[in-house]
Amino acid sequence: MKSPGFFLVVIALTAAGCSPLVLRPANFAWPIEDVLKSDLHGMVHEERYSLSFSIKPLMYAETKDSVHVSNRIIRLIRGEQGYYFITGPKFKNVYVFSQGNGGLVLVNRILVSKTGLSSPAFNQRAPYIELLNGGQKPVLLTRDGIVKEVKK
Amino acid sequence: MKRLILILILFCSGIGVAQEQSDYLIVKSFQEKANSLKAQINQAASVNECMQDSLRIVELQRQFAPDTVLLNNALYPLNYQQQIASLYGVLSLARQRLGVIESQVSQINSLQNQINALSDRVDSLSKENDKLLASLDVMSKALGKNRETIESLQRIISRLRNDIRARDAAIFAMTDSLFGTYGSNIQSLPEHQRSVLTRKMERHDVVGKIYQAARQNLRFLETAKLNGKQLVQMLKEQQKFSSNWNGLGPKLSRLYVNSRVREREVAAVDTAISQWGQRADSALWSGLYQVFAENNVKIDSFSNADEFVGSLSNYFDTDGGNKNASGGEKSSKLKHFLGTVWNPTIGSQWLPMLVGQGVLSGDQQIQLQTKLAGWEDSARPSYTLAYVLIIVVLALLVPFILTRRKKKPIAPQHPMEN
Repeated sequence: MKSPGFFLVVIALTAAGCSPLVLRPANFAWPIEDVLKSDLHGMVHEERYSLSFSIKPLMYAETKDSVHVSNRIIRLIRGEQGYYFITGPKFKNVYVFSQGNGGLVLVNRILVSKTGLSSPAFNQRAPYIELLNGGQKPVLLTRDGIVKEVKK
Repeated sequence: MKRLILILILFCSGIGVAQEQSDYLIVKSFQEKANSLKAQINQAASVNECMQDSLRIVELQRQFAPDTVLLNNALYPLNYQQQIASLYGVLSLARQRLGVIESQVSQINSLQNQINALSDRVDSLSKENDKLLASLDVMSKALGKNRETIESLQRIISRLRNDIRARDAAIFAMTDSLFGTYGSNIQSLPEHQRSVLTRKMERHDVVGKIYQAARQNLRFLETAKLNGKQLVQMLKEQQKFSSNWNGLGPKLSRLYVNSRVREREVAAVDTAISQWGQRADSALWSGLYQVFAENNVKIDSFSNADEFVGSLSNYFDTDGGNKNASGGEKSSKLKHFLGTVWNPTIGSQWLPMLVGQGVLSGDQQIQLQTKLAGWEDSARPSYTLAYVLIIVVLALLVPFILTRRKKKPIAPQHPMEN
């Protein structure tokens, strides 16, 4: 009868052999946000990074309307860690997505304005994403939420 | 501790983002300004404007200097440095283009001055020629009165010829300059350029000047009594004028495609040049025929080079128009022809001149010289009989001399010598 220690060593070695290959460090940050306008089918197309996706579910989540999805403006930026931050005019939230299997998967929804953003804009401020909204104080965001308001 | 680090990070980030402007707006603003400046450079109309645009590029760089890093990262596909380089590239091309255009403008101005000067010269020469032609007319009527009149007539003719040549050259130099500024393909010119060219042609009355020149040249030919050399030169000048007109006429027709009046004027020039050509041609051949007629050499009349060669060849072939003449007559006729017509004028002056000016070909000259040599051979007296007589005389004399030598007494020999 082999000792439990032996089994633990075997399991540890097997687990190490099965762990995914990860290339680190990596930086996914876009230097500036992109302002995209949806087409008739609610698709947006980002040319520089060859990215396109449907904003129907996003619009439904934000406005409960998945019909009027054409000619809607969204602002998109990718953070250093690879999460996509999306918002738009009149949005109350900033949506944080990660790249999933054939789509963007919601990671977090950050409430940034109770009344809706008037003129939102993202800036890349690695490791944060800065959110501007007209004359209001900018806020710094991470995947998890607002870190803090930036002092003027 | 963790809290302190977070505060420090936030503080540092806060310094970096003291500006509240969206990066996107900065990039967009730069792109709009750069594109607008590029368009401005492309529309620059002078090298001076390019200088201003160069300063604007410098100002653009100064304005966006704090955002250079952002712009370099954000701009795509050309980054900030490449976009600035691209602006300078466009500016450089515009400078080159405008430099060339300004040099062309300067050339056009220079050509315009030249055209004006030539146009004035044509006018003044035409006026002078009119006066000279009037004088020539008066002088011609008084011809034969005295030596002085004849000499002054020759001076007028000489001056007129020079003036005519200068005027004709000035006319075509002027038209060359006019068309030279627009290239040779008139039909492909844009409408506004065609109308500018038409206005210039009308302002300088190009067609009118050419018509006047052709008529004046015809009048000169009809009035002046020209010698052979002058007639040949006049014919050559007519041919040159006609050739120039043949190059210019179709261009003018294309230019005046919608003007019936102008079309008629172009047709009138055609007619005038054609009349002048016919007159110059007939004056040349009748002048040449006159040389034979004045010296009582009867040859068939001729009105062109082939007929002239044919007529003269026939004269040589028939021994001066009289095949059955006796040897003495032939010889005398040849002597007369050579002495009065061929040696002093036709052979020594007209023929080299006609060949030199291309009116007669070299082959035609050789043909005439060969035929003349044939006539000279046939007209020379035969010496065959004289040779026979000399041989007979010699045949009789030689035996006689030999016989005389044999009969000569032999001197007696002295006995002592043996």
